[in-house]
Amino acid sequence: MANIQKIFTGMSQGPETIDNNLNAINTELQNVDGVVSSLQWTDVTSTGLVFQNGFNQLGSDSSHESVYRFVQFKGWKLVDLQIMVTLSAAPSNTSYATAVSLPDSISYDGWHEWVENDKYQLTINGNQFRVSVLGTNGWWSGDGSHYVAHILYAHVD
Amino acid sequence: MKGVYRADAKTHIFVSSDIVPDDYVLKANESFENPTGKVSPAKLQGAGWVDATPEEHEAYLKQQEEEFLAQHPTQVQQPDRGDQALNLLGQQIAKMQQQQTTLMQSVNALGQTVTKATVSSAAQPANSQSAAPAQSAASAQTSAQAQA
Repeated sequence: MANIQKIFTGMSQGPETIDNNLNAINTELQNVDGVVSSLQWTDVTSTGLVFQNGFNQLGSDSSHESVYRFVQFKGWKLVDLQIMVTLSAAPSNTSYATAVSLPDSISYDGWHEWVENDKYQLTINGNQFRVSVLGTNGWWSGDGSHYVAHILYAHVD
Repeated sequence: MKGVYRADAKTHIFVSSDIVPDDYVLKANESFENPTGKVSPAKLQGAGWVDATPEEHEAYLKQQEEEFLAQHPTQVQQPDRGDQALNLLGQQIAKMQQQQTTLMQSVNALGQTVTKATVSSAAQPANSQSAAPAQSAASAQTSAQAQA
């Protein structure tokens, strides 16, 4: 943070102090700009993702598979997570299952859920991405089945 | 960077993963092998993961669902409006079938009553009307013979 000197009536070298303050602010802004311009997304990866209960990657290219990337800030990350999974066989005797386990380093700090096609509820909570079947709808499994989510969130380290 | 996959120290069941530097040294209950594809909950044995038994898998799913439903009581499976309408229609059809059965029984009972009534009322007139011409003919013949 810029070191700003207090300005008061009758102070000596007031104009010079004001000028020093403005220079200090300019320097700080340049530093911030340098930091921001050096921020970069990591490479897209699926490292650390664990697929469970019959869920698997939907495809084998980055536009059809579960991947993530992040920007590292001091003490936190901005995470861009894409979940694209298919279900090979429906979990038996349950309407709820974990689909993907996320690495702790990009876990979701909280709980968020949303509904897909009025039939499935997708939930992200901590390091778990879960799918639940709503009402009397059954699991959508086999060829063509896919559950998709794309979210941007902050993870506190 | 690479993935590390951790198991619970007591149960050896998979609990979490993380991304670590390439020179990371494994600690106890950790593996570089990804348990994806193993029957959940996968168990760490040595450096690798093994499938859960079918019983363990069922119990695992049930436990997860119970935890979820405890947090989401509104998600307990309820029939949707279409199913509710279908159920109502089914109940109405069942009621109509019952009414139809009762009606058929009533009609049958009424039919039997009418048949009995017809038989009993037809029995006497039938004897007098059918026998009378024969008797008359016989009488007439007898009369003719007598005259002859």
